[in-house]
Amino acid sequence: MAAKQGASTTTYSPRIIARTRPPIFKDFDLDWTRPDGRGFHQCRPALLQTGAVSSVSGSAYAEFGNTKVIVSVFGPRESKKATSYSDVGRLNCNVSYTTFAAPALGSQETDHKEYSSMLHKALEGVIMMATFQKTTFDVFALVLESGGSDLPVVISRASLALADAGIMMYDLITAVSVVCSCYNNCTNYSALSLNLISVR
Amino acid sequence: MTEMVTPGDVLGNAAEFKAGKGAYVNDNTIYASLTGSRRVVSPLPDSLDQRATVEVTGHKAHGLIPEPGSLVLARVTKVIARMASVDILCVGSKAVREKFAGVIRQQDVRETEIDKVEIHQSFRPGDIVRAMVLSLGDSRAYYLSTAKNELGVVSAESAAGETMVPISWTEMQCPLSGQTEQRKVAKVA
Repeated sequence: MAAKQGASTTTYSPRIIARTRPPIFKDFDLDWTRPDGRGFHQCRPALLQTGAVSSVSGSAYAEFGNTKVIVSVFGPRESKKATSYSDVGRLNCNVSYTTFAAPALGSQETDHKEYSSMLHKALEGVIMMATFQKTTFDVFALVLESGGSDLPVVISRASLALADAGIMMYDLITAVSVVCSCYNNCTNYSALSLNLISVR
Repeated sequence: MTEMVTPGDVLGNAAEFKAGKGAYVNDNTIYASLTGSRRVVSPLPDSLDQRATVEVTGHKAHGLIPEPGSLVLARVTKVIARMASVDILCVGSKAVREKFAGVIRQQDVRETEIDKVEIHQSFRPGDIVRAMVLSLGDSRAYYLSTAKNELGVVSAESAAGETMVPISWTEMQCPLSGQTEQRKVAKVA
């Protein structure tokens, strides 16, 4: 389960494997084009790079279409003197947006506390905390441009940056966001169930 | 065998290999936990377990923290009644990115007559000291020890500003002024 590093910026489509289950999407669903011109099965062009920031322990930069995220990892470094002794390591996460990340932001606060705690929950299960006792890792994610699906890109880049920093982990994390949408006219109310989902 | 692996990659079967550094065992399979190259170390001929050890050597010197039993190089920052505060600069032979706080207590300075140790005559602020990590210590500092012949002050500056030359296990001399100052000197082989 290794992540792609330094992939070229071409669009790719996943292989359609023959399934025994009936397909979830009907034929007329597949003609639907997304707002940015992609087909139903097309993924956004991706660029992934580690070691983008030289002065930190580990870093990862990713571009998925219009979403650009850079994650830096500081550590292991000493916990602040005010905190108590801890047998296992600690993790601090911070996700922030630049003021130019999305047109609607501007004067909104740039620190995203909800994403920070979700990133923390995602990372704390995969890092071997017992290998860096008494020390702290700081993970800073900066969203340079928000083109949708920000949190999954942040989570998967954070795990790449931690692997780049040389911290022991059980595995690399991949994340995806799913959206339940209904297009055309919703005369068929079963379309509102989770059967009709699209993956960004 | 220089095969690059990332965390989560399968390294082998637990029946054939033992998990070394950078690897962990889950459900009879050995997975990598670091990014680096996969290496197989053959077992010692007289060990009971004749499985080879598979480990991952990191491609960068990262994630370095002081561990109990490791040798460190530290700079003395503060000298008070019964201990010396130091900043750990290197662990083993590699420099750490951000310094860690350490402390050398009076009873850990030397092996003999530990209750008669004068900290001020063993270390001074600014000295570079080679020490061994005793334990993780408390929340504020690691506990270090210089209680061996090869541990102690490696380099020190005299009052005149010159790097001093060691002349015995307890004294160093300034080449400029000729004054001797007392330190717990490390035996450099």
